Amino acid sequence: MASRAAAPPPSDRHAERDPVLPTASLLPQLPDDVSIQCIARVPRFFHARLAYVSRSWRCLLRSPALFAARLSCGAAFPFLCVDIRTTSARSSWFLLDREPRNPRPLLPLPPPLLPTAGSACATLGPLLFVIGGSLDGATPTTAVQVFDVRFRRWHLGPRMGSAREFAAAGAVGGRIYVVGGCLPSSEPWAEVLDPDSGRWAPMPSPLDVREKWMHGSVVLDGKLLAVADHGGLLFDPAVGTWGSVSTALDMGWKGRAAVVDGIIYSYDFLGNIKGFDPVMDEWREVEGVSEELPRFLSGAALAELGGHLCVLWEGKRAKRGKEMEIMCAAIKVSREAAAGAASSGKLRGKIVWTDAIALAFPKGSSVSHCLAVEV
Amino acid sequence: MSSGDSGPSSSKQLVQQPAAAGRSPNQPPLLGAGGRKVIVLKSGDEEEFEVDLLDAMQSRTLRRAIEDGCGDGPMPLPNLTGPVLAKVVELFRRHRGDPRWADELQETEKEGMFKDYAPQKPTAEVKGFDREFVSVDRDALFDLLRAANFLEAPGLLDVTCDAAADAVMNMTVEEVREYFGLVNDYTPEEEAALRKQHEWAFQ
Repeated sequence: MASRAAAPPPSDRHAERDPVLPTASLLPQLPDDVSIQCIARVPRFFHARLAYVSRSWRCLLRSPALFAARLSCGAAFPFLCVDIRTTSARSSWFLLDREPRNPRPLLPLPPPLLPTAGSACATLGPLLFVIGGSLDGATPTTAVQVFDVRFRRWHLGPRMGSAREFAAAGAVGGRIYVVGGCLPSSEPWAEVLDPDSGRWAPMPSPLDVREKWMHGSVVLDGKLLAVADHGGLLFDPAVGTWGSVSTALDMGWKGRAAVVDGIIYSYDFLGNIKGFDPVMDEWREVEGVSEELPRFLSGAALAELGGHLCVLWEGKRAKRGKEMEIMCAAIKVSREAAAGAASSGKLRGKIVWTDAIALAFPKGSSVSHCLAVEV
Repeated sequence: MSSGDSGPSSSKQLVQQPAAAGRSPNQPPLLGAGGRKVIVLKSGDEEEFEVDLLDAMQSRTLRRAIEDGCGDGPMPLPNLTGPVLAKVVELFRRHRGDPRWADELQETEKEGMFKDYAPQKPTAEVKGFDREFVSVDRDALFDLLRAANFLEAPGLLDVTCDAAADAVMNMTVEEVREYFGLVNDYTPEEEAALRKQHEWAFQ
């Protein structure tokens, strides 16, 4: 169906065919080891341009060796993949990249191959998975679209066994798990993708845990947690067991959430950010941020970004009629220790940075997904 | 061994005084100001530099040589010139306690002979020194990069590679080729096609 769009442009075939580094040295004056160290420290924003220096530079910039070097020298900053949905239900992805020295923090991605809505998303290494969703706002699909942030290119991944929209998905132990988003009677209702074999395998699940729509999901401590219509689901892939989340968690969790440092963060109905500590089994308001953040952020998207809680919402200050403004804040949350006790469980937030990004989208557009990727 | 002598004045002396040549390998290690152990490094053009033994450990290459017992006489470094070695030795002194290399120390070493070398975040002064250190022309920067590679010194490599990356990132493709003497091996058609594909990168 999308084979035309999925075929790589002709100019890229050389690089596809020949992933090994050519014999020409990267910098004639230096050993290649050092050249790689130098090029690895150049912010990602400039990589696309540097690829035109020579064939050997192009190969290096696309090679695992460079990504390993960027990781080891601390130049690999995580960044966010952000999906903006316009009122016409069109999906547009952006990279929000706050790497130091990057002159342009927001980069548009090429459009996805399929115009899906209601997809579930997960990231695994440099890959963003956009799983299922409905086509034309009506027909759920089995398609999985994969974006490789290194090469800035979409391709179609392995198809699922069931068509899904509004499913829950998460990456655990190098595999992608997806549950629900289809009729409870569907087989498979839950399945798992092993990226090495490139196949989805059905996961057995008891009928009594199955529900149709999923309103949010997180991965916590190696388990996939999801908000279904009638309560929170918990799946432990290590042992293959299903259950429900604790009552306390269930009561305070209605949708979007993110996990940072073992705490689940979400919004309460008053628009305050709360954190759920699974050890204490209770929600606590994140104190110290309410003055700097607008209230009623219930439509905001949350993500973990480099150890910080990242919050994205639609700004109110759009100047011209055609522009929307995305606001973004990174919050460092610390758990306060009480005198005598090991921890009072109090969560105190400090805003590390905020950004306002103007986008040429009609007002009323919204952030539908927001995930961190690390390369 | 006494401690607390790492003030700038005494250390500066260590670096700038050329060492006395002609020591026999059987003599005990040199003692610098305050009783610290020092070793002597000899450049390819026969310049000698006294370096605090512990500062020299920032280089994996020197560290291996010292641990193999080569630190008693002047240690020849034939592929480093005097001016390059002088700069490197000064950087080692300024990077004392730099976590970039102190992280590599084993726990027992942190307790033992590196006791006074508690890792500390680079101060504004060290950062200023680093900036000044790489404010050199292209060929001098390549010399320092090659020295960092040969000496396997993480702190030195970090500073010099950052400088090279800074130089590259503000250049056009043509300037990068000119700077490094690289040949454009794309055909004009290929290059035009590539540029078209990634127009955003050239804006």
